[in-house]
Parts: sequence; C-alpha cells; structure tokens
Amino acid sequence: MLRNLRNLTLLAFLTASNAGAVIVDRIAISAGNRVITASEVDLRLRLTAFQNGAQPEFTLAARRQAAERLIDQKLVEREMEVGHYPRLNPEGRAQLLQDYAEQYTQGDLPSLERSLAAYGLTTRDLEDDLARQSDLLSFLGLRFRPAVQVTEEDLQKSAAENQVSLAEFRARLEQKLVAVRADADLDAWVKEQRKRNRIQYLDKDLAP
Amino acid sequence: MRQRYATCAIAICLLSLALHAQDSPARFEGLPVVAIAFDPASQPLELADITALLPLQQNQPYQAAVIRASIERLYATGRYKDIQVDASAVPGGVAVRFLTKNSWFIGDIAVETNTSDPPGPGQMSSVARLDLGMPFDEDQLAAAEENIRKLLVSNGYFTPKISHRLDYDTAFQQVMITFIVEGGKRSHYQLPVITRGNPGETPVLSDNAIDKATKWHRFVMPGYRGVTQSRSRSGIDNIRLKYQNANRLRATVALESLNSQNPVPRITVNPGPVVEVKATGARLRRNTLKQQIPVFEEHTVDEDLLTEGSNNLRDYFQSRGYFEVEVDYEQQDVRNGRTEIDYQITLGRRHRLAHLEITGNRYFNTATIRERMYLIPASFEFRQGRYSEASRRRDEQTIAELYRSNGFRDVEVKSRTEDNFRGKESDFAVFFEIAEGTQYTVELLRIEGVKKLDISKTLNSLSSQTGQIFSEFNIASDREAIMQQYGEHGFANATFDWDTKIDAARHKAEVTFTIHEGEQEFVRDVVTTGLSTTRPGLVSRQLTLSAGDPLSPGAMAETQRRLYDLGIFAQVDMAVQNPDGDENRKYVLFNLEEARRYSITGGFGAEFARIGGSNAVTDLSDPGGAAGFSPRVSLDVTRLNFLGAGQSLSFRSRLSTLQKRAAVSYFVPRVFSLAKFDANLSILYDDTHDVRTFQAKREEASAQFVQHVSKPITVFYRFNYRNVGVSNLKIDPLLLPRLAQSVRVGIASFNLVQDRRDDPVDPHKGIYNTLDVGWANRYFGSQTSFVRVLARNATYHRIGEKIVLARETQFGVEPAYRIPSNSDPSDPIPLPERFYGGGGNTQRGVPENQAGPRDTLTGFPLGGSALFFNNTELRFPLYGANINGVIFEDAGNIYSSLGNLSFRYQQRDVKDFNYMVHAAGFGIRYRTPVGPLRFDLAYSLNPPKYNGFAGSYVQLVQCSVSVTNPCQAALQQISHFQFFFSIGQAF
Repeated sequence: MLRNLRNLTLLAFLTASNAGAVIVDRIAISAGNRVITASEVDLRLRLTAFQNGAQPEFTLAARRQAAERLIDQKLVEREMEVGHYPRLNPEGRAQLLQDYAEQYTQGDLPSLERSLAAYGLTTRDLEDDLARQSDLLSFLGLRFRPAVQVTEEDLQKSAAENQVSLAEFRARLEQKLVAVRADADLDAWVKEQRKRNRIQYLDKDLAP
Repeated sequence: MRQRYATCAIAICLLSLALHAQDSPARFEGLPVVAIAFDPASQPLELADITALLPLQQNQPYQAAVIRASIERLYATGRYKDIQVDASAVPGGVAVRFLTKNSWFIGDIAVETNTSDPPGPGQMSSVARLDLGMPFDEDQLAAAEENIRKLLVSNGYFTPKISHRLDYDTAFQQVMITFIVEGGKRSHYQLPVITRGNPGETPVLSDNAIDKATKWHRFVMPGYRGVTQSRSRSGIDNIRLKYQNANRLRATVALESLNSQNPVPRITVNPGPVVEVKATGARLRRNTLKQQIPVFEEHTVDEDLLTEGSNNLRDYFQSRGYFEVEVDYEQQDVRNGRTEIDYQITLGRRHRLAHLEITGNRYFNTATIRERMYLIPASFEFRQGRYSEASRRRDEQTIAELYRSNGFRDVEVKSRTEDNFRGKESDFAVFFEIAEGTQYTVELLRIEGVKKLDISKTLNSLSSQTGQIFSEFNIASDREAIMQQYGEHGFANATFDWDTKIDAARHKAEVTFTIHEGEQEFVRDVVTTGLSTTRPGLVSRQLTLSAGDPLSPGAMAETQRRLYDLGIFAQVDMAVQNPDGDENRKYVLFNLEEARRYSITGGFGAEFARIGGSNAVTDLSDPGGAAGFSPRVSLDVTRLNFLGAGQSLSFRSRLSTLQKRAAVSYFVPRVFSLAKFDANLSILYDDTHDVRTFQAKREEASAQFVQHVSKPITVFYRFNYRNVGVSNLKIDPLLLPRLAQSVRVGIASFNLVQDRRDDPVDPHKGIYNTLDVGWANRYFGSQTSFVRVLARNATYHRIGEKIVLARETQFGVEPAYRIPSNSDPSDPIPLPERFYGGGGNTQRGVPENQAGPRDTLTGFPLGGSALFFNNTELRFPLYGANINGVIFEDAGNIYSSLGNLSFRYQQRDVKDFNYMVHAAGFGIRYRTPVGPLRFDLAYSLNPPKYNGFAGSYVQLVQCSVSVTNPCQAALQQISHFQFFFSIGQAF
C-alpha cells in the first residue's frame, strides 16, 4: 500500500513537470519547400471571419477550405520571391492599414485594435494580410495582365451580353475582360504549380 | 499518513492539470523566451547555422508569428520532414522546444541481380529515377520498383521479384538504396502470331517472311533467341523496312507487349496501300529521291512531309544550277490498294552563278561577309555555283544579323539577281547591297545589385562598356561572363536583367544591368560513396573542392573529370545534396562505381601486303617482298586499380607469322601525386621478322614518364635498355661477323607531341607535330653510341565542306660517335637500331621496310642513318557517308647518312640507293567505329633496282669466297605496283 502511494506521488510529479509543455504550432501542410502551419490555418479563418464581419468557424470543412487557399497563396509567394516581383514596402503597408482604419473605424486605430482583439488578431496580422492581397494584385498585374489580349470581337460580344453601348463602356468592358482573363490565367497557373510541386498533408484531416 | 499521501498526490495532479489548462499558446504571447532547445539534440544543421537563420531568439518576446516564421525558415532549408514546437512556462518566461524529424536524401543506388545483361544493373538503376542528392520518400520506391519491373519484363524476365534494402547514413542524411532482383530465366521468343489488318487481301509478306524478318531466330541453331527490348524493337523495325522496300510506306507494324500472360509475340501488321513515289521532269536516282523525300525515313505519308520533300528537291536542284526549278507534288487517291505520289519537277534552264558581288560594306570586308554566306559563285568545287532562292533570303538575314550584332541596328541588306550576266545566257549574277547605317554605341552602362561579390575584373572587360558597340549580342555575352563569375563563386540563384534606353537620333544607348545576387552557397563537405577497393586517399587527391569553398559547378565538373581520368571508375555521378533547399552550406556528393578490375581483350587481324616471299635460310629470292598474308592474334589482360591505388598492371601479347611479342607493363597515373605526370614501367620480349633482312630478338626493359603539359602538348621522358640479337641475316656473308652480333643498347630519349587535330583517328583540320630525340651512350650501359633525332610535321586543311588536303613530312638522322672498330664503317649503327622505312605509313612506292640502302650482294634492305619522307593526300567523299577516296603522292627514302640525303630523282646505278623515290596512287577508306579501313594502290615512278642473288644462302657463302666461281648477281627491281591493306589513315 505504501509502495502504491509512493508510485502515485511519483506519477503526480511527472505529470506536473510534463504538463507545462504544450504544442504551440506544427506543420499542417507542405507545398514544395513552403509550409502552412496549424496556427496559420487558424489565423486565416480568423482574418476571413473578421473581414466578413462574421463569427469564425473552426469546422473541418472551413479549415480545409482555408488550407487550400493558403496552398495557392504559398505557391504565388514563392513565385514572387524567385521572380523578384516587387513587394509593398513598410510605408505602403502602414498606409494600407491606415486606409482600412479610415474606411471601417473612421481612422480610430484603438477601436480597430479592440475589434481585432475580439477575433484573437492583432493589427500586425491585418496589415500582413492587406499587404499580401496588395502584392497578389501587383503580381497579377505584372505577370498575367500584359499577356491578356482583348480583341474587338471580344468587346462587341461583351457589350452585347451586358446590353450596353460599346462606345460608352469600352474602357470598363475592356478592364473587366482583362481582369477576368488574367484571373483565369492565374488559376490555370496555380493548377499547374500544384501538379509540379509536392503537396503533403501532414495533418491528415486537412487532406481533400 | 496514507491518506495524506493520497491527498497530496491528487492535489499535485489537479494543480498540474489546472496549470496545463491555463498553458494555452496565447498565454505565452509577449513573455521573454528564456530557452530554446531542439529535440533530438543532434540536428541536421549545425547549431551556428540554426542560430543564424532562426527568427526566434533568446531573450526576445514570444510571438506566435515568430514561431510560425521559425518553422517556415527551418523547413525551407529542406533538412526537415516535420517540425513541431512546444512551449512551457518557466521561471522568467517561456521555454521553447523544436521537435524535429529529419528528411533524407538519395545516396547510392545499387542493384543486386541474378539476371544477365540486358538489362544491366546500371540500366536498372537509371530507370528507378532516383536521383542522387534529391529528397527521398519511401513512396518513391513503389514507382521505382515498377519501372525496374517493366524494364525486366521487356527484356524477357516476365516474373521478376524485386525487393529493396535501405541503409541510412545519419551523418550525411543519406539513404543508400539497394534493389534486390531475382529475375528467373529469360524467356525466349516463339513463333509469332500474325494478325493482319487487311485479312481479305493477299499478304504482302507471308507469315514466314515476317518471322524471318524479325531475326529472332538463333543463328544456325534451331529455336529462338532470348527476349530483349532492343531485339523486339529491331524486329519490328525490320518488318517495317521489308514493307517499305515493297513500297508500303504507310505500313503499320505493332507488337503487343510480351509478358507472363502473353509470352507469344503477337504482331499486328497493316501494310497499307502501295505508295509509289516518283519524280517526273528530271532524272533523279532512286537513292537521292529517298534522301530528299522524308516519307521514307519517317515511314509515313502526310502533307507536311510531302511539302518538305518538295522543298528539299527544290534546294537540291537549285544547288545544281537549276535556279528556276519548280517542284510540285500530286497525291492520287488510293485505287486498288495503290496510290501514287508524283513529284513534278520543272527544271528550267540550268544556270551558273557566275558572279557574286557585295557592295556598301565598309565595316566588314567582303571576305568576312562571304565566309558566312551560303551562296557561292562557280568554282572548282561547285561547278555551277551554289544558289537557291531560300538561301539568298537567308544570306540577307545572315549579313543583317552580322551587322546588328556589331551595333548597326539600322542596317538594311537587299539583294537582286541578274540573268544573262555579261551576255552569257546561262550565267547568273547576284548583287548584295548593304546600307550599314550608323553604328550604335553605349553612352552609359549602369550596373546595379553587385554587393557581395567582387567582379570588378569581369566588369572592366565587358563588351558593353561606355563607348563600345551596343548590340544584343554583346549584352548576351556580358550576361554570360557575369553569370559565370557568380556561378563559379557559389551564387547559384543569381539572376541578370537588363534594360536599355535608346536614342535613335544620336545612335546612343543607355544600358542598365540589374543583378540579383541571391545567397552565396558554400560546400559543407564533400561526400564520396561507392568505394570498395580503391583507396580513399587516391580519390581525395582528385578533389578540387573542400569544405568552406564556394559551391562551384566548374570545380565539381573538374573533379569529375579527374576521377574519370584515373581510368578505374565506370561511372562518376555528382550532385549537390538538397539542391532546392534554402541553406547556404550544402554537401557535394560524388557517387563512384568502380570499374571491373580485370579486362581481357582478344583480337585477330591480318596483314596483306608485300610481306611474303621466302623466309627460309636456304632461299634468298624476293628481297623486294612478294605478296603475302600474315594472320595475327592478340591477347591483352589488364588488372585495373591495382592495390586500390589507381595503378594498372597489364600483359599484352601478339602472335603472327611475322612477330611474337609479350610485354608486361605497370602504369602509375599521377605519379608522386603530381597531377600532370604519369609513369609506365615495362618489360618486353619481341621476336620479329618485319624487316626481311633479318630476324630480330629483343629483350627490353623501359621506364617512361609522361608529362601532360597542356591539352595539345604531351612530353615523354623515356629510358630503354635492351638486348637485341639478329639471326637469319640475308646479307653479304663477309659482313656477318660485324652485323650478326647481338648488341646492348641503353638509350635515354625525349619525345614531344603537339596534337591540334580535330580528330586523331580521322582528322580533317589541325596540325600534328612530334619530335623524338634519343641518346645512346656507354654511361647508359650501351655498347653502341649514337644520337637519334626524328621529327614529324603533319597538317590537315579543309577544302570546301568535305575535302581534306593532308600532308606530312618526316625527317630523321642518327649519327653515331665513338665508333667501335668492329662496326660496319658504312653505317656503324647496329642493324635493328637503324631507320627503316617504306610501306603504308611512309613511302607507298616500296613494300614495308624496303626503302633505302640494300646489301649489294643479296639485295635485302639494310636500313640507314637518315630518313626523309613527304606524303600528300587529297581525301574526299566517294560514295555515301562511309566510303571515301584518296589520291596521294609519296616522296622520300631512307639514306645511308645525312650527307647522302638527296632529292635526286634518278638512281645512278644498282648500288646507289640515296635518291628520292616517288609514288602516286589511289586509296579507298571505309569508315568503321574503330577507324577507317584502308586499301591503297600505289604506282612507284622510280623504284630502286638492285642486285639480288638467285640461289640459297649456302651457295652465297660458297661463291662469296670463291675466286673462280664468284657470285652471279641477278638484277632485280622493286615492283612498280604496291598495295596495302590496314586500319587507320596513313597519317
């Protein structure tokens, strides 16, 4: 009996000492030589919920969707790095955050911080996300838009479909067509990159 | 007491669980990081490297974003397969621990198999597609084994068993993969089952004919050969060729995959219609038609190929002077299993490109422009000149490109033609007019982004410097120069961009080069694998890279070349481990496959020339040699990598009716660790009758050092010590006491070789020089003292595209000194040491070794102390790609001494042999993988006359001492016609 009690005590101490270490992050997915950590998936969900003004969903389906978007994001980021595409500088990032605050909290940064904190986010997280979106647009504009060709026939067809006058709306129609086609090219490129790069789901739950 | 214990334990558990519940990651945010640890403690990166790259630092606040970035950064190195991070609250802050799993990289791939070639182990390793140094995942093994299995099945091993063994090298994160293959017995072909695509029609080829065409039958013996991939492929190709020969160009022949379920070859044939291709309107050989129309080579008929055929025919006839030729084709529909393709050729008048003029060129002279053009006016080589409409356009482009690449961006090149040039109906002229424009120059060159590497020397020698010519060509060469510098210094990811601002009005350009250097990579260590018998020291001495050096592909390639040069490795694979990993120190891998240590080579051959005639002592007929045939066999055994030191021990032997030879030699590459020196020691026994005057037995020991001064220049330093005895001498018996003695010769020599030929076996351009200087002296143990100098100069010049003018001059002199009293006063050099010449490689006007002085009684050659030969050959294509012709002129002779060297044409009398023999002739060369087979027929214009003796040697001895019955001379002459048959060019 005494022996059993001693063993129990020992077990208690061991539990106490190991109980302090908690896994704070791990690799969920690897895409080529880039990784998506579990915290990154979590962050993505929070950011999306914040920007949509909704409650964050941590369901498996939502996590999978976020993971897939992150894979695409990582592939684009790697291409931007390899191709030396321009990234937004610190002043530009700060301006983006400021503009966001102007738009949503009338420039009240503390209020923005409180809103973000409610989602477990920081202004740095939001700034990073806004900068990523800006860089993506820049990448799209430099990499895919120049190759898009819009013919007169395309414009006429678009004007007819939208039932507007071509003369009046030419510039806007052209802009829209270019944007749609560039997006399609980007999607095709991402699909191709997914085939070329090894994507491993270390967190099996996130595998499609 | 017990109760207190229990309560205490439970309380501790509950407290710890409560604490645990409170230790969610967010709690650590902002706390100072007190400790950073790694589990396992031994990491694939060194601690200093990890510390340098990790964003997380001790005593900095804990941030989830920084943890995330640290995981990303570590993973990007490529050294990790999985990374988790745990953290725990400790006094003063938070302790962070990285829990890692290493990744692995592919090392050596080996195959242990009981199958016979094909496929060989190397082939199986190759199809596994596991590349040295690349990341390894066990998932790859299934695909690799499947590829090996498919290879084995296609080579007749229908039910192979394949397994693998993995050996992990934790020091270098490598996994050695060994595939174990049990193939069983190779299957054999069987009588093929033929399925016909047109079953109702009469077969073009019978089943038996198809079976024979496959060549799958054993040679002579009954039954079929073993299945191999190449035999299956060639079998199908042979069947297709049979159909093609029967004008069935659209025939399809397919073999179903052979495997264990389908061991009988099933061949489906569909002959298609008879396709007859003919040309009307011009005479065209069938072979030429086949060469010009690609449907024959491609074994199919389609519009693109037919159009290409039209274009080819047009170019063909235009190059023969039919500049206005028109070629069209008409393809009929298939009728009664037949279709005709008719190329209708309208030749037009035959012209001669009589004149080609270029005007307007100031920057380049006409010769510089002409050598880049296809158009050639009429000449000896091109009787009608060379012209076609397409080529004229191409030449315009070529000239324009030449100017643009030298800064003339605005150049315009036009051409026009003029018929009936100078009133001659068939003559044709082309005029090129060049408007050069103004040359653009670089006004300013900016170079941005050079921060880490000092490339000032390269930058100072760029072609696009301020004031220099501006052209894209120069920018491309500057790019190459800069990128090469970066590549050699470990900047594998450096990129180069350029931009220009052009001022067309002032013809100036501002050029900006932007360089993104990327990170510099270094060698972490050099790892060699695959050695079993070779000493590691031998390999490490060849390495040109060591830890800490910039990662240079050039140094890697140089190491690979040096390892191959050792001659002991069958394969040297090199790679950078983890090439895509984001780390700046990488392992450089060399995986070596040792060659088989023993090689045995056997050969047989024959010599057919004027080498025959009687060898018997009793018969002195044919001093000039009669037609003879000498078969020969050889056997060589070599032991490579002797004692694992890269040295070789070899035994070489040759046996023929004229020669018995055995030699043992020991080769030491890079002797005394000197990269450019090799050494060779050998002993030799030789019994030869290649000079018909005597039989020579030679026992020799030699030592040789070879210095590889540079790529074209090699120097040999040699010492030979030999004992030479002669017997069966066919000379004046009174000379026997002097010349019949065996003699010891110790000779030190120096041989310089400069070889700048494009191809040593069959050269088309370049030069080849040798200089051999030897000194025989009593201090070297020689019984006879002389100096030998032999120099050779050969040059090769192209004439046009296919003709080669080759010439060679040889000069040699061998003065003796300190002449012993018992030597031949006319030539004190011992018989076997004299110069001998004549034959296929020196003077084709006389048989082998028959040139020069002769015994005045018997007429047999005695050799001499001086030689001079000059050979000139015109080599040209004769028929097809493999048969060439040669016309030649040989002049020269062996002379009794330097003072008797003469260019005189006439032989004064039967005792005078110091004159120049001339011969001209014709030869045929048939190209083979080992060199050209050679047949030469020469006509000697002034072959030597000499006195022979019609009798036996015994009779010669008797009459030479007789006063009453002196020896009767029989006047003889070397035959005017000589023939030679051997392998290799004459020179």
